[in-house]
Amino acid sequence: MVMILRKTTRTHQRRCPLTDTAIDQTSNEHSDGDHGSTLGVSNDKLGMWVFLGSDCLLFGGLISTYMLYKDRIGPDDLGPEEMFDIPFTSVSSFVLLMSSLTVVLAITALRRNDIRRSRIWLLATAILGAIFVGGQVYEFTVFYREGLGYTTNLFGTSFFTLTGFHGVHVTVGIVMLMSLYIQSMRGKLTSGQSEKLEIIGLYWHFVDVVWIVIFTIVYLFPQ
Amino acid sequence: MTATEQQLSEGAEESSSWVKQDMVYIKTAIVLGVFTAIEVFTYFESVHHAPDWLLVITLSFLMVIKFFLVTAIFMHLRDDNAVFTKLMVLGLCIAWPVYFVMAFTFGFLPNWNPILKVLFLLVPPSITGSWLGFSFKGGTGSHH
Repeated sequence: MVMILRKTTRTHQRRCPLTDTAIDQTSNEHSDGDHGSTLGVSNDKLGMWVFLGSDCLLFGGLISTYMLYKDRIGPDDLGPEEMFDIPFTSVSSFVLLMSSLTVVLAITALRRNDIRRSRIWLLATAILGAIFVGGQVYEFTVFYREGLGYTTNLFGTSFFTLTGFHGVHVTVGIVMLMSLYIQSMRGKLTSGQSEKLEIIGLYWHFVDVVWIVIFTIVYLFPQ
Repeated sequence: MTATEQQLSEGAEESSSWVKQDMVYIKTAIVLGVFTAIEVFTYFESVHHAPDWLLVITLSFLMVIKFFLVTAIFMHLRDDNAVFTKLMVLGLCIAWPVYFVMAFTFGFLPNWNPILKVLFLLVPPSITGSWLGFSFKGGTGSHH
């Protein structure tokens, strides 16, 4: 009995306000018969997690392919060591990392019904994402001018496919964030609908997590 | 205590709770930033003298820590329903051996001892599964 009580207390202490609201909202959804699932979680959120799991496999495949082909370069071709500009990519990585913070601050602001601050953080996230994508476009342009095209060698093909797919994911994330921002400006995004933002936030964090892996394996591992 | 005073007190408590939550996120972001700076530092250091194996181990360790910080705190796996954590752990446990079998099949790291290869395939998913699946149950999720 004492153990059960201790467990309950510990579990209660670990609850964060964000999750409390999420659970309350899920309970309300159940009573409305709206989005409830037999697992006791929101179907929309579960769907996003399943999608992220499948996306993990996609990026796993692309990263493995890059690892296998990164040394397949011709004798006169430029390799990763000559091409990569680590200081520049480090700044881009830092920008994307910080966008994860801004999106989570947008979610908490919306939960506490601070719509104005939530909008500011949403916009900041979209801008940081756009800076990252801009940096990637610049990097691709430099590589192309230096002689590394998509079909130059297997290193180029696997590199552009992997980082290009990631860039497309970030771009889709920006579009979703901006659509939420517009909804918020029209008064259609309230604290009661914060799960929408939370789900898009999950996607955004996933994109960040994937970049953490890509940045380390592709750019920083000794070539 | 009057009803108004009680409401004010509850409001202040709630506000303080939100501020604490935001501070957790900000501290996490600072830690992530510091880890990224260390990663970048290892790149420049490698130009001079550090052996490759040491760099790979250090960078892999930092990458894994950053990965779990983002998933646990920013993606709320630490406090959210345990179903989400289990879903993710299951994916990781399946993906790891699949990609390494593929890598070995294509001749990546060909000089490894076969026993070492088997250990490399099975140990990380087992550790991840046991660590995340049992000690990382997910707070509120267990209520459902």
